Parts: sequence; C-alpha cells; structure tokens
Amino acid sequence: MKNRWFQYISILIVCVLVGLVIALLMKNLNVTNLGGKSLQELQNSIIDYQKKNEDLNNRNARLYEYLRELEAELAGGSGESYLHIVDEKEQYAVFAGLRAAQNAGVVITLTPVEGYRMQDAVIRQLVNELSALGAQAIAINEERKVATTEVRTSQDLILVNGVGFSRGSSFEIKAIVDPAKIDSYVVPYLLSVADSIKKQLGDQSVTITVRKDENVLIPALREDRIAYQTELLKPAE
Amino acid sequence: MNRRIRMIAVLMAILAGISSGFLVRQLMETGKGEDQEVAAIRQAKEVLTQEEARLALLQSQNIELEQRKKELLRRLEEYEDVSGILAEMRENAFLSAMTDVEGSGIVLTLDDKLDYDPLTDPIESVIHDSTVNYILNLLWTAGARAIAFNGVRLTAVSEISCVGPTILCYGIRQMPPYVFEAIGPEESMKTALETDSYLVHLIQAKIGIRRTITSVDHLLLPSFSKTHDFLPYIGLLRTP
Repeated sequence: MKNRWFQYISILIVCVLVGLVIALLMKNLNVTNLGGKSLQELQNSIIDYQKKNEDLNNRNARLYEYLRELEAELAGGSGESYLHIVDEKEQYAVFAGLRAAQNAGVVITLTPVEGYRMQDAVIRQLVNELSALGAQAIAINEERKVATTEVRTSQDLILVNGVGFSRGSSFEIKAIVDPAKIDSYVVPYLLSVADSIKKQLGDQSVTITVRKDENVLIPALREDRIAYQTELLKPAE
Repeated sequence: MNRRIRMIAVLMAILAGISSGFLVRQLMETGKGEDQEVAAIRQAKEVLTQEEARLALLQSQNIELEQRKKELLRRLEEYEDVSGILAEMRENAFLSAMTDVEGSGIVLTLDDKLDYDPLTDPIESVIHDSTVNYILNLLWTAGARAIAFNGVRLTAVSEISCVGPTILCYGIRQMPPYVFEAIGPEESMKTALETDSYLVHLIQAKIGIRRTITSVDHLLLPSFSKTHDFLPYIGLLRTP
C-alpha cells in the first residue's frame, strides 16, 4: 500500500514538472509568435520602409510646390509655370535617356583576341555592374542604354537597341558615375570584375581595360531606335 | 474507475505544473523586466506598423497630388497656349516611365526552391540578381515595352543588385516570390521564357526554381513616381 502511494506521488511530481517545463517553454513560443519574423528581419524591413517613405516624401514635397506655382499662375498669371513645365519636360527627357549627358565617369574597353567572338553575357555583366554601382547614364558603342535596351547575340553580331556590332570587334562601354567614388571604389571594383571575367573565359579570349575619364560624353538615344517604340503601350488615365 | 481517477489526477498535476510555471515566469519577469528580445521585437513591430501606415498615407497623398497636377495643367491649357509644351512633357514622362501605363502582357513569377537547404541544394536553387537581370534582358529582347519588378517600374537606370543573398531594386530589399509584369507581345515573351535553355535548366527538379507564367489581357503598371523620387537618379548628368 505504502509502495503504491509512493508510485502515485512520484507520477504526480513528474506531471507537475512536465507542466512546469511546458509553461516555461511557452515563453519562447511567445517570442516567435510576434509575427514570426526575427529582430534582424524586422529591422531590415523598417530600413526599407524608411527609405521608401523618404523618397516618396521628397517627391510629394516637390509636387506640392509645383501645384502652388500652378495655382498662383492660374490666379495671377506670372508666366513662371510655363518655365516649370519646360524644366519638367527636360528632366523627364534626361531621365528617359533622350538627352546627351556629360560628366566624370569610366570607360571600359573590351578587345577580343584574334579569332575570339565576344559574348553578349560579358557585356551585360559589365553593364549590370555599372548599374549596380549607381551609373546614371551608360552607352555601349555609343548606343545609349535606356529602359528597353536589349543586349543579345545574333549570329556574328551583338545587338544593342537593335543595332548590330561585329562580335570580332572592340566594344566600348562608357558610364557616368559618382566622381567621388571613381578612384576609391568604382575603378578597383571594375578591375576585379574584369579579372574574374578573364579567368572565366581564359587568356585567349578578350582584353579588358578600365579607365577613369573626367569628361565622359554619353549620347542621347536616337529617335529611330527600336527602344523608342511604344506601340502596345498606352498611358493610363 | 480507478484508471479514470488516475487520469484526472495526472491531468490536474500537469495543470498545476503549468500554473506554477506561469507563476514562476511571472515572478522572474517582474524581477528583471520583460525579456529584452521580446521587448525589442515588440518595439520593432510597432515602428514597422507606423512606417507601413506612413507609406500608405504618402502613397494616397501622391495619387491626390498627381491628380491635382493633371487637373491644374488641363485648366492652364484652357487659359494659356501651353498645349505644345505640355504634350512634349507628357510624351517625355511616358517614355521615362513616369506615367502609369496599360496594355496586355504577361506576369512571370519566380520563387526559390521550396525548403532550400544551403548545405545540400545547389546555389542556383535561390534566385540571384544576375538571374533577374538575365530575365529582364530576355523580356526586352522579346519585345517588352514596359516592365515592373515586384511592383516597381523599371526605368533607363534600372538598378538591380544584391547584398549577400538579398536582391535590391533601386536600393530596396526584395523578397521572393519575384514578380515580373511585362506589357508587350504576349506570345513572343511567353515563348522566350518557356524555351530559354537557362530558365529550363533552373526549373528542373534538381535545381527546383518555381516558375509560373500567365498571360494577362489588361495589365496596369505603375509610374516610377509612385514608388521613388526620380531626381536623385539624374543628379550627375550635365548637358554637353
């Protein structure tokens, strides 16, 4: 009888302990129940939202100023809104790549070794690296890169904006980048990318040079280019 | 009967344990304050909610301001001879991705391999910025006239890069699934995506990238101005 009571009490103590452990574990569950995201993920999301908000806030502030000018123009007619429209029209043209641009930047030259045919992927990789480095204007063999620009191989040619360039000839990629970063970061980084491309392709492929240019001139997109076409697209009201 | 009593006793003992556990926990927390990590997460969630609400507010303000601008410009056109310059401005805004656009096209969705395990799965089982750029080039080549990536309209300065495993689009972190909305010739774009050898390689079972392609009769892509201010992207450009 005494033994049986001892058994009961032992079982009860074990059960109490199990309950205790469950309750203490629930504390940790509570942490994960707060949305299922880690603190790091939440902090990253906050940074992203703050950046989006700052961007949009700046845009709205400018729009607000513009509207005030337009309202003043409609009330009194100072003639300033016309100038503002001209400014805005030009800013959009620059952003679209419809105007030539000039500033300090870098020039990358790719020269294929005799008999080697240039690959579109190499040009694309360098263009993407330049975009990621914050380049604000890029041209490949004097063809301005715009939103719809494609770089692709078509037999013996590489097409850029629908214009064909021989795969056996040199390619020149020019870009306008932040002058403050050219020497310290952009050129050394591009040289390391060039090295890795050369290692990947082998010695008998292509030579790549990267140089700083204080006065890079990037041409505007020509109106006869395929990238200018907007058929199939209409502005939404 | 005995068995039932024993079961009840066990359950009651577990309940007693849970209650004591909560009591112990409560006493511990009262003593040292709320667990730091929980508190930090709770605080971060509150900040995030505030930032989300602020973005929603700014977006609705932006829509109102853009609408008001259109209205005022229309009225200005009635009073002054600005129709020529306004038409040019609207054309440039259209070409620079600064207006909403509509048309038919496709929606491509890409996602990392389900339950990706960095120890056993190949590196291609997660989507990289190079894959995104590759697909964009494929779509432009197939005749796309406008593209939005995860809801952000792409412009002449399409900044898609990565920091470690995270893809950034115009400096903002993007998470899978990655959605490409493209207006253009549906068949040509669809064929390009379905037949491209690299993409076919990625969706093999051993790589496991998940892909869906849907034709859409009416797509509405947002203006770049709905998500970003464009002036910082032309600040370095001088007119020759």
